[in-house]
Amino acid sequence: MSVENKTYRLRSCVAIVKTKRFVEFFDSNLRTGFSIELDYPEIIGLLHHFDGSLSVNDVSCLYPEISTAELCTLVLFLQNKSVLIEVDEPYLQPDINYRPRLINTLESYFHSTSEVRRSIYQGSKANILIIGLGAVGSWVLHCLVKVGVQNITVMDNDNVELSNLHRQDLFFEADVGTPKVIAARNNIKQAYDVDITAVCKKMESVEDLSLTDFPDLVINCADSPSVDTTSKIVSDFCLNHKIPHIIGGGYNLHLTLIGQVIIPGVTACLHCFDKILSPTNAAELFGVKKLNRKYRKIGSMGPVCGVSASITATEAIKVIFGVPIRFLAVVNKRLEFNLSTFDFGAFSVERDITCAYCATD
Amino acid sequence: MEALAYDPVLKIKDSVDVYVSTGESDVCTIQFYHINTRQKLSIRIAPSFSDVLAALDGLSPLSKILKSFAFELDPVELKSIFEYLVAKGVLEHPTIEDPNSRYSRQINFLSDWIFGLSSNKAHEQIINSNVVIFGVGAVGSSIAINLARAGVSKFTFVDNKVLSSQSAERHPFFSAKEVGEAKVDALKRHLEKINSAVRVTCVREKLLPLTDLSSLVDDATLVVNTADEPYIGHTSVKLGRYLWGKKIPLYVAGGFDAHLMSTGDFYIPGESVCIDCCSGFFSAALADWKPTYKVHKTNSAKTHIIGGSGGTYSMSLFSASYACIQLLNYLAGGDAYKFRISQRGEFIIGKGEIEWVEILAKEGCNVCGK
Repeated sequence: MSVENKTYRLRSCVAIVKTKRFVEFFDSNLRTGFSIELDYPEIIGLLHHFDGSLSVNDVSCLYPEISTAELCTLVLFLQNKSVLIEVDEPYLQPDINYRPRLINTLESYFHSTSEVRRSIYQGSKANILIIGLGAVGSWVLHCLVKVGVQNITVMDNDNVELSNLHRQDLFFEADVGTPKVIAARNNIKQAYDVDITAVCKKMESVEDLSLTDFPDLVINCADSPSVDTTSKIVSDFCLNHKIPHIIGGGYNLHLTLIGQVIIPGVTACLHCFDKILSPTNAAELFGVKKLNRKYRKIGSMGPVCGVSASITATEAIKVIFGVPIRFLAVVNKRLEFNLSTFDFGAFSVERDITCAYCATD
Repeated sequence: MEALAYDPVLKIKDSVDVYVSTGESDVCTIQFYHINTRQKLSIRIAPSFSDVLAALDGLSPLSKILKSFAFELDPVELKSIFEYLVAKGVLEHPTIEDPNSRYSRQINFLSDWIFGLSSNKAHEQIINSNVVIFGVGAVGSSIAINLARAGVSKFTFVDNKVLSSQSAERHPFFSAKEVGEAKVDALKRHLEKINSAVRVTCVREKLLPLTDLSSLVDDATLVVNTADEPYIGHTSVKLGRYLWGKKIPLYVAGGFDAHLMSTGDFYIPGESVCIDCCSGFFSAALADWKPTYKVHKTNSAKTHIIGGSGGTYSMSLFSASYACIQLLNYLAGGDAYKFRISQRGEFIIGKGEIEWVEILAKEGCNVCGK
């Protein structure tokens, strides 16, 4: 179909400001904007006509002083910038009723309603594996359920303890003593009528991950015996099968860390990070050993884990719903939240194209 | 060693990493690293001292620990080193009896984050707080849940709305069976499942210009506002003016439409700018920003504008978690919250960075006197 016969809608979350020479556009969901030089005084009124029912031709008839070709050029430019969205398929009524905010979130990343519909379908059906239901995993799980992801598998072998309740989501006093995966499954079923798959097992090797169907995304929130060990297992499995994965943070000794999203063959993998991080660590620790203390029990606080989990889940949602990779924030870097300055720092790592682990050929 | 006058029970703080240099035979450098605040402290000492450090278990008196070592240490010197390390916040006299008790991990955390106050006392201040929350939507309820998990035991919730099916998107206390029930009542039940000791007062009202605040907020330790109807600026000005006079802090949370992952504004009499300076500041800053938003008549949704505000629970959880880090630091008697006290941050979802705006007081303001 040619552009003039297509239908577009000006997205209601886009703020438009007109000055003498410029028109500024601001997507209030993403909080990003741009401006174009344009002195046509009727521009805002013109754009308001794109209401999802009129075609470009219909609007063009209302503005005879503008050529249709010129209008089509402007429309395509603003569609590419996600100011206008092409309305080529209606949204499903249940999605409009029950998850309008998800639709609106996704509209910032796509160019047509059919793309948004496909994205919602893809996300709802995606297979997600979360390893570890602790101070990060429990919050991430809840975030994914609430966005309508239907097929989630959780793997953990711990029971809910009273000392977990101050920092972990989804668990209540009545759950103390119950395996975490079972308590989470039951509480999600009760609140949302969604069935997640509970695997009461500790991940100890790559073989443990082959128990399930190949997931579309693996999120590692497990820190036992150590984050290095669990991340290595997840990385080995996911790089081998080209599965996107996220190295979570917010756990013991890495309370303020927000780990990276890894898209195999596209973004820096765990080993690309290690290559940069190991020399840094080694230089600092040359001729130094860490004091071994068997009596250590590290401190933790719920909302600090929550900050880490919220960013991890927000990134995971982009991956799950097929948002283009350029919109991901925590790739080729990891973030660290500073508890004194209340701000984030970033550690950036470029993908090593010679990396033996994530090379594409 | 039998008659050791100085015989404390000690442990290395759990939040401190300890590194020992291995290059020299008769002396070593021991470096203590506070993993949360990233501060470092180094001492030069005999290598055998590191073995003593590693053996500190927080249970046995020093004399008992030293018995298992074959070497002799000068008790006077030992005392001065240990007292120095306690003063520097590296060693502590253990305060928690049961390391697996409900809040032990949080108390541990506080010991490294709150200074000038024992971590038990800091935690007690959290427990004894009375928090009033206006608006228990996505962010307000998330703040309530986070604070209740942290131990806050007394709440008042003010909100007149009921749970709808659409609340499943962002309200963390949502339950399909409770659709149609008052949000304040459903949230109360949710908190009671988390902590049976919690005491919640529910007020099914909307904050209006004529609402009498005194009965709602006069006993509050602090007040949180997330009520964005008719407009969060208006409800905040009403609350802010009243609470300033009562010397009660107000936290206006972020995370609402067009600010889906923002940090909140903390108004503390004597410390921050006042609410009128803040709203004046933004009016002036945005004087030239007159945006138009188009809501189409063809909109197919009855409850929410398609194409309008987005947002997921993960995003409102960010604003709520960020708010609770600041609130808990304040409630526990810390001072880290002051670092961003009159600043507003917007977390940019596509970048993973916060963009900050410093809120300036009006010159010669006779309320906040900034």
